Amino acid sequence: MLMNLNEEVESISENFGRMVNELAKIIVGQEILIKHLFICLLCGGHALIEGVPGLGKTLIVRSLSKILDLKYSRIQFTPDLMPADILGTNIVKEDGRGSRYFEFYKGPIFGQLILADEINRASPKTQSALLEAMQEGKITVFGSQYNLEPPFMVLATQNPIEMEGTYPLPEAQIDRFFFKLKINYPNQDELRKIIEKTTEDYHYELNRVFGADSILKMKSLVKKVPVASHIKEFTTRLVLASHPDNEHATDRIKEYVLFGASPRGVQSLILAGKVSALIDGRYNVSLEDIKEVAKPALRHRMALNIRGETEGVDADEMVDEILNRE
Amino acid sequence: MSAEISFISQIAKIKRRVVIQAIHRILLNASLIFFSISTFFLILTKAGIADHHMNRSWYFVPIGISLSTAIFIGVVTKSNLLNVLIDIDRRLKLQDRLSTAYEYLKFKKKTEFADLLMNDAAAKLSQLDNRQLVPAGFSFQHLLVIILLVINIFLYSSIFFTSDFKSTHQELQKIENAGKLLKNYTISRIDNRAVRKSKPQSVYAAKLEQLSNKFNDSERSLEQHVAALDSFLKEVQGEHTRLANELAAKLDSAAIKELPIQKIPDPANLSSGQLEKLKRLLNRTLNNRVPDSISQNIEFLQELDRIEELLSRIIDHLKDGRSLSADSAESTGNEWWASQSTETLENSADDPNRPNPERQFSDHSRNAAGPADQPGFGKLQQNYDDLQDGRGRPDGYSTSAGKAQSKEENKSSYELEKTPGVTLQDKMASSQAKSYLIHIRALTDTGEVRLKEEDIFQTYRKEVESILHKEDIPINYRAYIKNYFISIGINTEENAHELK
Repeated sequence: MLMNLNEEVESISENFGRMVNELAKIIVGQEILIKHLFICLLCGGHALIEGVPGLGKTLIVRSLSKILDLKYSRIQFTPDLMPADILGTNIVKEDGRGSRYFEFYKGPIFGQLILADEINRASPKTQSALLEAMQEGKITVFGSQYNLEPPFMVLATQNPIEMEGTYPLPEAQIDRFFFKLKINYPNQDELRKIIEKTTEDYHYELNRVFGADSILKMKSLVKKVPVASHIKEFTTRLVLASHPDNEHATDRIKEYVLFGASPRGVQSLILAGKVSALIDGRYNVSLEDIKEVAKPALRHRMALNIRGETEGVDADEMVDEILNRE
Repeated sequence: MSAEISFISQIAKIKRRVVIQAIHRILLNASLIFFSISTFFLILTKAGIADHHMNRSWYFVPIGISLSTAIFIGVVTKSNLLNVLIDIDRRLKLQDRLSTAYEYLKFKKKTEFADLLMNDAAAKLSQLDNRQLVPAGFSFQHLLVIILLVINIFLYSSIFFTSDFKSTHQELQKIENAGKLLKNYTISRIDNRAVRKSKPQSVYAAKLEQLSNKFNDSERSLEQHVAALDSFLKEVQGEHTRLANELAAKLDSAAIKELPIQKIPDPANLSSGQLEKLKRLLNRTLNNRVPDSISQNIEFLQELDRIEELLSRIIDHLKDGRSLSADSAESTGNEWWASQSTETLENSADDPNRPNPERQFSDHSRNAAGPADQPGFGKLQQNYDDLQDGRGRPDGYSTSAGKAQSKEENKSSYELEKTPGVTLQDKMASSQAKSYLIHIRALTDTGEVRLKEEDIFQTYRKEVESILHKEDIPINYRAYIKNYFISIGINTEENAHELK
């Protein structure tokens, strides 16, 4: 039993290492992004990836689906995209006897790894079509419920610069994303490597690293990881400090934040901390684990007020502010 | 289970270390507090505000305060083991392995990871040295203690090497002598059965005994002894004044008015011997029916007077190094208790400038013994003369000088300065005791005396008679001697002067 559990923990860090190595064939840098995606996957969460065009958002998701052997779907969000385009619809069919019937035509949501590309370009109506799927892992169409095949993960992307003709995601929907990940612009060395891999005669083949079964097995282990009470206290203080009306809030938080993280923020921090510990081969969550995942877990859950927006305050700064105080 | 045992044994090591650290911290805090108090006290001593000659048992007070405060601080700031482990986790970057494992062990939380967790924590602990886990570093408190210790040594040594810190051999000898004197006095007083029978031991005698016991304490310095004596002397003087006033009030009572003297002198100015004479005078006048309260009052005043005298002499001895014979106190104690004749004190005989009422009384008594042998008024008047002057008076002085009533007597000294009137000098011939020559400023206006002529005549008559009694030539022989001088050619006093 002890050996099995130990082996399972070790398998997590091994699988992660293999996944990083495999992605490194095509993705240059972005180790942190990959780690956070893995954490998100094991926690059963969904990620909102933000970055300027051309940084390889789509490539990462597509490559991930390939090496994890997951059903991949890509939905390009446009203003005229309808919910049925995502969920699917009933279509009329005719049998051999000439009688007609409705048959449900599954939309792209019926995948395991869903890429919701430029999610903020679709109307709120269409965006909300994702809500139930993301939260419950099932959808309801014409009164019929359809379960989505686990592991189900939505990876939505959005462009932070081009805001014209977009529909910013409502807070309720943003809160459903486990992480908000940012793709940083590559440095010179990484750019050089990108050139080498994309403009030269570079051949690569992505192999399957592990599959859905392994993912589910690893997921089952996450919630068992012990967390000490002082780590829980730290996490709760961290989340409470993001609220401007809380006693733990700093002056800058009070000045620039409209409202702080929801309870989902605490859940995200603890669960992500557990996976982070497992990746590290540990059996307990440490403060470092929590601090490491604090930004992706809290940055989209803290809404800046008008002053913060106009002064260009970054949510990451606010998270740093809280972390430094604690 | 083996993981748990291993982890527990590792934790036990940390616990031991924590206990040692806690004791160390308590001692450190205690040292810090003690040295702070000590430094403060030494600074006060250096500034002359505090006394460094205090008993060494005084040091138990700051030690007790320091230890109790340090223990209190230690108990209040006692850190539990979980917090210690959290600290170790953070310091040694163990990523909360120890604290999590200990928490799950202590609170018996159930998790599939428990064994793995404890095994992992025990493995990490085994790799670490005890000193790494709970380091005994050199903190700011240590530095502060060292600094305070150095300051203490410096201050203490600077005080220690000053001349007045330790009593010299001479001073010790003086203290010993003074102690002996006090002891002899108290012993002689206790030995005297008459005293014990006649009156209870006074509070001041008891205090004197306590003071004599303190002289056996070798830790006390000369200054401390002098200060104690000074303080006691002031106390005795205060009581003396109070009792003297009380006695004066009693003497002014109706029963005493029948005395054949003009005015009862202020008892505060009377010496022990004079008080004894006053007592005898009262006994004679009232046929040995002097009220007990007055009698006791006089006795108590006498005792206080003797204590005062003894203390004064001891203080002089300790301060100025005046010679002090060991039997002085005994004689002081015995001379009145045993109704012995007064002996001239050694230092008084050596010092002619010092007034000695006892000697004056003795001389005076001897002088008066011949011509005034007859009992009665003359004897009483002589005693009265002795009593009129607080410390005795040389022959030839008038008892009524300056006693006339004045309308200015109620004026303050400031007002008297401005009073118009002629300042007269006393043209009386100086007696042998030149030290009593005084200038008198007459404040009375002539012709405004409102006393009856008979009263004044009576007073002057008494005075003249008393002077006549003091003359060395007996009254019966005066006419004879006068005739002799006339027969040899001297008719008048003027002629006598011319012949000279």
